[in-house]
Amino acid sequence: MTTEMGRPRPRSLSRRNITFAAIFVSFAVATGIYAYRTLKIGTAAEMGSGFFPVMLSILLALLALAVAFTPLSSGAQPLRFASIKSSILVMGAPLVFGLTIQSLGLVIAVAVTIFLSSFASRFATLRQSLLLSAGFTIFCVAVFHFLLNLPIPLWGDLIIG
Amino acid sequence: MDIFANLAVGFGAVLEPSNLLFCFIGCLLGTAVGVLPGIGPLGTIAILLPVTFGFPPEASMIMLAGIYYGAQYGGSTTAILINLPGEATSAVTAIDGYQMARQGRAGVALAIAALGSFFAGCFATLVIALFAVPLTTLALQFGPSDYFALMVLGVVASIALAHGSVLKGLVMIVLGLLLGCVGTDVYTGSMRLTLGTLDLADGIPIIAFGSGVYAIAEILRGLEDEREQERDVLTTRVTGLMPSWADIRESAGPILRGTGLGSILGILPGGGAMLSSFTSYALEKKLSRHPERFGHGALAGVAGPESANNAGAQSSFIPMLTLGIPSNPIMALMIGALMLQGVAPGPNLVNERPVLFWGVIVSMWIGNLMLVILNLPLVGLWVKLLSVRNHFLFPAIIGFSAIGVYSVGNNPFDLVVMAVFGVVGYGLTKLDCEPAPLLLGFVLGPMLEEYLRRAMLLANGNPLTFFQRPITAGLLIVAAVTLFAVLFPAIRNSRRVVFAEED
Repeated sequence: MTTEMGRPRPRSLSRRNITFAAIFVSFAVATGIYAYRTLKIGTAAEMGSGFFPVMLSILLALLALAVAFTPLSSGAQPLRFASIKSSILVMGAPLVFGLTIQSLGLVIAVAVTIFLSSFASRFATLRQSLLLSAGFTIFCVAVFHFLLNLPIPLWGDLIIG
Repeated sequence: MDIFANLAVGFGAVLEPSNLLFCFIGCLLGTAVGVLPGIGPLGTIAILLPVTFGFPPEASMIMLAGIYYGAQYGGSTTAILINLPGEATSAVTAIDGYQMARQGRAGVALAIAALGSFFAGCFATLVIALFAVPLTTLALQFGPSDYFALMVLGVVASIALAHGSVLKGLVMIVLGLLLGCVGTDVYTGSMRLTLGTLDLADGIPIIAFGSGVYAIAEILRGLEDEREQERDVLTTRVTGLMPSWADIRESAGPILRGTGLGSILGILPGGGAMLSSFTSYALEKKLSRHPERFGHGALAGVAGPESANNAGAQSSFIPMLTLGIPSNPIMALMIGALMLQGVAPGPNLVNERPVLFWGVIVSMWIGNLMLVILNLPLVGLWVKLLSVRNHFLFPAIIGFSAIGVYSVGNNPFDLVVMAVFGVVGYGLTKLDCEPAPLLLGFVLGPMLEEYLRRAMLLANGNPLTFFQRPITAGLLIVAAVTLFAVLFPAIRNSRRVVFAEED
């Protein structure tokens, strides 16, 4: 999120590119410091584990800084975001799966993940989501468990005990 | 000739019923994702990669390869029938293909696209078979500094040839390289940038990374602007599939030129299907005696690019199979697949795993044959696929990816990585960044570092070593020239648009 500043900015600079540079320079500096403090740098002939990461961090910071001084490319799409509900449901879906897979097992984890994530769409209805999640769960169990023999238990620790 | 013996080894591998089946599944899936707009071969391969983990390496590579070139076939169907590129590489096919369809010549356009692709696929397979061995012999003489220079050139070329901002492409590459550093350092055994967690000791899991950046971020982009989809499918019943002799004569030249062009451009680092099809369209328009017909249903505008993208898709396997260097993100994932299987990609692959090497090459022949059959008589079936609504599709994609990511290591932490990179990937698209160079950098990172360290060790820390070997120096100079060539017009143009800039 960019904060609006009082003074007008020169028109040649794009706010999106300055945000870009700010994010990447901070990331590069943080990573560089982290690598420098935790890893051995070594010499050019015998590089330590930190040589390459620190070198890359410096390069990344310089390149990202350069982006701040370029205008937005002409093909840039106008900024538009998915709704907060969709974002949470879609981004959270892997987490839901990760939280349930060991304790509840494949069947429930897949069913819950599909059911919840389907509501990220405006067109989702309860009936359709239930059908979709049931159908896809059966399909996944058939393919992954019976056909491909993936070693993922169908029912989790909490259920089998 | 050796080549026949080698091809016989390949045929032996492919004609095994299970491999034949995987080849078919790959082609089928490839066509399906090619037809569906919004999901491409890259995402599909990222999702299915972990599933192939349990297969033998041959089957896995044959299937994944089938997805890539199968998508080139499927993409043209959507482009011709509904004027939407089902796959980015068929964007130019839509220009003239859709016009042909409006003139009632959809059948001819589809047939020429498929036949051109088939011819190109066969030819490119032959090119791979002929040049793979000489190239590997050459590659075995490469020293570490040569490899380093080759990868630098590959990275630079991939940005130079891609669309979008060069500078942001570079940032993505370097970020990818940096993320590739995470994990245990192979030289010293010390943990790097793992944030103190053992879950990252083996590095950021590539599948979780890829699924996050592609699947999650793409799905969110699709949900930004959800409308009732009303796809204007021009004809549900496609008739007149048989092209006339005049059509065949008209398209023979473009197909031949497209095939040649694609075979060459696919080998270049950064090349592949997309670049080939765009270049071919431009070439055909220039050579045509009736350039004014382009954009109004010129057959050459379908035949050339469609042949070129298939040839390019296949010849981009050459650097991957012979050098172990990916020329595009799809090849980067293929290398990931090989490494997951415990197979070391590189010039020794052909000697150590001849069955795998020649099996993949021969499977492309068989696969192309399957694809013509799948795509031409069954085109009606694929058109029906276009009526599947997105809101049924994306939860399934999420479910599939989640199972895939989890199955690699049975570690729930990998799903956290997937979610995190979903957020990162979505954020990057909002900052006008392409995820492709990020993935390329991520895969190349460890290799690039290894060769750099080895080269410096051999040279006693003297960076001049990169200018003393003629191959190294040559490659680095080409890389530098390329970089300047693309950066300078960018700077000059940016000066010009400075005044017109609106955020």
